[in-house]
Amino acid sequence: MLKNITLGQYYPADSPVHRLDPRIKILLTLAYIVLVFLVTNWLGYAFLLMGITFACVLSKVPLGYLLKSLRPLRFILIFTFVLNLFFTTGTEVWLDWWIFRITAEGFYRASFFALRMVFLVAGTSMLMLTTSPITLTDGLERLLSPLKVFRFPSHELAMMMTIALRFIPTLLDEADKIMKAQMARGADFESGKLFARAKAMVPLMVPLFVSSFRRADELAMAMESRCYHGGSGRTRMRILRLKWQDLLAVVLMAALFALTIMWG
Amino acid sequence: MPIVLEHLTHTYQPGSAMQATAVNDISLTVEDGEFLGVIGHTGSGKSTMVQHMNGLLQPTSGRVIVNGIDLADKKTRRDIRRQVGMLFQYPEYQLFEETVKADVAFAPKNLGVPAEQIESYVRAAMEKVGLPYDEFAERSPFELSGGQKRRVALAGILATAPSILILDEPMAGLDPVGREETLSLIKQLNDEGTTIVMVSHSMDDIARLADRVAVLNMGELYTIGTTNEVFSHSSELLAMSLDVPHTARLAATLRERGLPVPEGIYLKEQLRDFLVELYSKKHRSGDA
Repeated sequence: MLKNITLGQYYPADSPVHRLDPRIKILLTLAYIVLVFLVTNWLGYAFLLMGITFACVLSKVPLGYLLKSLRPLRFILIFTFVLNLFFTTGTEVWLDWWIFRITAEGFYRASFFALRMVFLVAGTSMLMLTTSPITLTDGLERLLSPLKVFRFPSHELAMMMTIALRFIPTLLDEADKIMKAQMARGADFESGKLFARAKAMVPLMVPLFVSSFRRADELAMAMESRCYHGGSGRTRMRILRLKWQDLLAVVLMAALFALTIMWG
Repeated sequence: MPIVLEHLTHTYQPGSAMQATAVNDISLTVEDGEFLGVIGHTGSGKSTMVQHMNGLLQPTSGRVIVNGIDLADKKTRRDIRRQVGMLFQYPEYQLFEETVKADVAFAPKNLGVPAEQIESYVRAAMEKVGLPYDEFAERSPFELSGGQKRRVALAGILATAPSILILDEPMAGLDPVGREETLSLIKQLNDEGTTIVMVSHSMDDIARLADRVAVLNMGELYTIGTTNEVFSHSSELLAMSLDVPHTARLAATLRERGLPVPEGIYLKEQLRDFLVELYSKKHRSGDA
């Protein structure tokens, strides 16, 4: 029952977008986010749509996956849309009934902000869909490493994220097993009121906690016995090197930026 | 007839990209008081199959009938789980209460044993697994040794006095002494009339205890027969890269070397008796 939770959104494929340096991808995504907020008219969105469609086609990620990432957003989307629709004052009234008043300005504004959110999420999803969690933390570590000057533990942070990600499937598996064992002993996780349900979680959470500590301990031991001692002086198996494709991606992004700034 | 599986099929995540049929069209019947061993590779569907026997999994198609009750009916689930105890691999990981007593009482409390009887059920279960009630009842299960923890977990299953016991690799990770103790406890329960279904990788344990053996291969029932029948086809088991009991392997080696060891020898007592007879015959003929 816990099996159908997929970890992250990563869509494994072999494409130019997947092969981009994660550092560049993260930075480009940040630039894209800034860009989304700089858009002031519909033409700007047309440029963004062009950009994201290009990235999507190039990445071989089916469009359906990208749209699916918008699903959790649907309530917020509807909410902001409706809010903007009814609470924007304007001159060109389309509908006036009881306390509701829809104006043309309201409609445009509502669509505009809803689209902004759609583009925001679509862009970040593009990053998550084409970058495996491990690569992502790798890139993040490198990007944050200049902060080491201020004693920011970028390596430790990345290692913690990697380990956390690594253990999610393991813990899910374990939770599934413990759940089954307790259900065989008559535990009921599915019915009852909120409080009863929370209480019913105790037989699941306690063993899960105990075993996570055990696993953490074992992992620490295993890492120690292989002489792990933190980030300093540690070499890497996959060395990130910028390639001409990365440069090209930056140039393309810059072009999109320029287009949007000038006309969007 | 306690457990009847009719054309049991189970598919994980049907309709998704990761769809996988773990159990495919298995029909078998476990008789009252029987000890059924279930063997097969990792991923052959053993665990999936036995998890249907107390309604933890629902068949994708087919039926499961336990003690005359169809498990598709959710309302009967509580009764079924009281009658069918299920012990998982590394059961000590299911302990969570503050005291041994409370943990063992978890199942009977959930499964509708009257409150005033719970303590006597708990006491009986703990004594059965060799944990004296007065000594262990108030201790924390987390401060016990590994073997003791496992016995607490087992007591937690036995505490509802189930008539059927499903064991999924109950011996995994135990030391030889704990193993022997657990085995003899399981044997004793079976002798007292508990129906037992045991999944195991240890062919020696199965050979010693089981009345019948079901062999699963790639989610299908390869064969089911008496322990004798199944282990006399050692070569087929080996071809599926399954193990056979040590004695069966030794018998096969002796057969290759030219000794007239008959098929169907898989217990060390059988082989011993045969060899003793063979050599005393030889000795006599040598004398004459």
